[in-house]
Amino acid sequence: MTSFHNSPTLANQKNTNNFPKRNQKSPPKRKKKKFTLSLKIVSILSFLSFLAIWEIITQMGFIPPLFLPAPSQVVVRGYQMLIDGELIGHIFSSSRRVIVGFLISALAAVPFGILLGSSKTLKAIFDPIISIIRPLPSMAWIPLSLLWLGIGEEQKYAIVFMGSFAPALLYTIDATRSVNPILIKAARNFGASNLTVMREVILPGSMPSIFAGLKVVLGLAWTTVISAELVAANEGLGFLIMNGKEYFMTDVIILGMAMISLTVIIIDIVLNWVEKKIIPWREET
Amino acid sequence: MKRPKYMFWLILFSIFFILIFSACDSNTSNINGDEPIASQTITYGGSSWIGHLPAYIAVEKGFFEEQGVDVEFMNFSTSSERMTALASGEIDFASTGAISAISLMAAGDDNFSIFGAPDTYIGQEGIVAKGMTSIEDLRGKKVAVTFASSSHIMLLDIFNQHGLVLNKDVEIINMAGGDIVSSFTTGEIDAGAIWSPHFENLTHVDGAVVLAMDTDTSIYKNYGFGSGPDVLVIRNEFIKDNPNTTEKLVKGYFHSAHWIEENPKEAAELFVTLTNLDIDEQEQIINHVNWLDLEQQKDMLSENGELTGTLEFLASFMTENHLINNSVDVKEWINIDILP
Repeated sequence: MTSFHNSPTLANQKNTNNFPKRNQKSPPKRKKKKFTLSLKIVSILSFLSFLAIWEIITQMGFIPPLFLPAPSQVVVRGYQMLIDGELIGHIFSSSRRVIVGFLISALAAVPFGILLGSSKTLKAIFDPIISIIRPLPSMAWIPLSLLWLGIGEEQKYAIVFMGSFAPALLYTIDATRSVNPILIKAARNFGASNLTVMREVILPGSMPSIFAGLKVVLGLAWTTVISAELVAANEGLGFLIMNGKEYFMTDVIILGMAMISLTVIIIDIVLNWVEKKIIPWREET
Repeated sequence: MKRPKYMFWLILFSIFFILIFSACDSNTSNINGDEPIASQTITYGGSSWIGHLPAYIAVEKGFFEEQGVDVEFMNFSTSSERMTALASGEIDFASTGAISAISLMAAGDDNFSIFGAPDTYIGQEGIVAKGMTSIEDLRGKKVAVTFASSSHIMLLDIFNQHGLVLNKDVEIINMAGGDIVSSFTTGEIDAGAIWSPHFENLTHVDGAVVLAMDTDTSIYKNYGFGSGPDVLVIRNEFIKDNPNTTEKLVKGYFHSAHWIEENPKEAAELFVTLTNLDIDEQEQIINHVNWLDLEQQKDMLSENGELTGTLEFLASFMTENHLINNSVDVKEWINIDILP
């Protein structure tokens, strides 16, 4: 069995084709590091320039604050709400809804997707249902979810789940199907059982792509939480944005949007760290 | 010849600035609306709420047309959406809840004026619960209301009167009118605060009890108006560019209000296409509303008029309850000079 332990690297050959050639000279590490650092500086400068232009345009009165408030106004509002403890409450509520809804959908979609990706018969059975569910926006589930689950937190988790399940499933099916069939054949030739092929070849081979897909789905889950908080909510970033809309508080709307982006960035960093820990071979590819 | 590297950045920034400035330009022209539009269709922002009846009837019965103006009735589900459309120049005039108008004032928009009120209504909204007899019974219960609506103000006002603290004594949930009715029916919420026609639908639910009405609010007791009176709003640039059309519009509108008072049955028959209510029930609602005529507008919106007082009270109430962040002097938005 040990012969398959290295299979993840092999399994990803089909996807990557990025292996350095033997005679190719790799650039000196220091030069590469310097280049990466300068790219980061460019990114930071680009972001700061964007904020500066935005601030100047709004401060000079080209756009009324009702339509677009200055970034400084958004920062001041954010600070006030942070001191009140209000902002943290909204971030926590939305994050909890996203994480719970997303985890349930990932837990359901990944094993199911691997099964469908490995079996053409199963895929043929479930394909019509998936095709029906896939294009439905999460908002379309609101009336039914209210009837089925009421107005509690379960309804909000369900909206996030419905918005992220189909994409997570499709990413998983795709990742499973992209595992090099030669590796599967080779494993079988060595006498591996179906379970062993799944555990030693398909799972490690598809995991990097599944993880990459799940990261995209997590971003999608944040868009669905806005729909979830449209109905029967009194906290959460979606609620904050919608309530800001009702009172024409554009700075609150932008603050809510910025908080969603910031939270996604933080969760993304955490996910990248988790990815390195549980799929170390991804680095090699 | 190799282009210098900075050329790329120069082009990129140029495109960015062109986009930004063209966006600003289109915004400004929207806000200002400086094109003469008398010959074009004038857009009114409405909904199925009873306060839009005069405009709806004026369109349906051709009262605007008689004045030589072409008006389109455009539906909006909330006052804030209607006021956003007014602020961005998408609609020209509207009847709207005062809460939304005051919120827009607090946000710093001075591009619109209040020039009247279509009605004073009582008995059109209230708090409905099951198995309770008083407001105090709501302690520890779940109450749904549409935030930033007149019912929200009514709820806050009545809770203040009974010493109930929001989200401490009572859990408040933000829901749209239709959702309040369905959640109340299924027992997901213990009570709902809502306006007509959802209010009537709520009272039809088995075991429903009306705990309080808009007549119980301090606003009504002091000024005789509901907790979020309807006000008529119009874009300032529209008035500036079309003074004659504005006058015709106002005449057509109040002619319609007068006609409704004399023909409530026919008005109900026309309006049920929007509300889906029973005609008799619709007629009852119309008869409950006090339709205001043109002559009453100047008095109500004068320095010491009841509507001016109500709006000032509301603005202070909203500031005190942290619904808006800036205090506003509503008198700066009142314009009765356009009334013929």
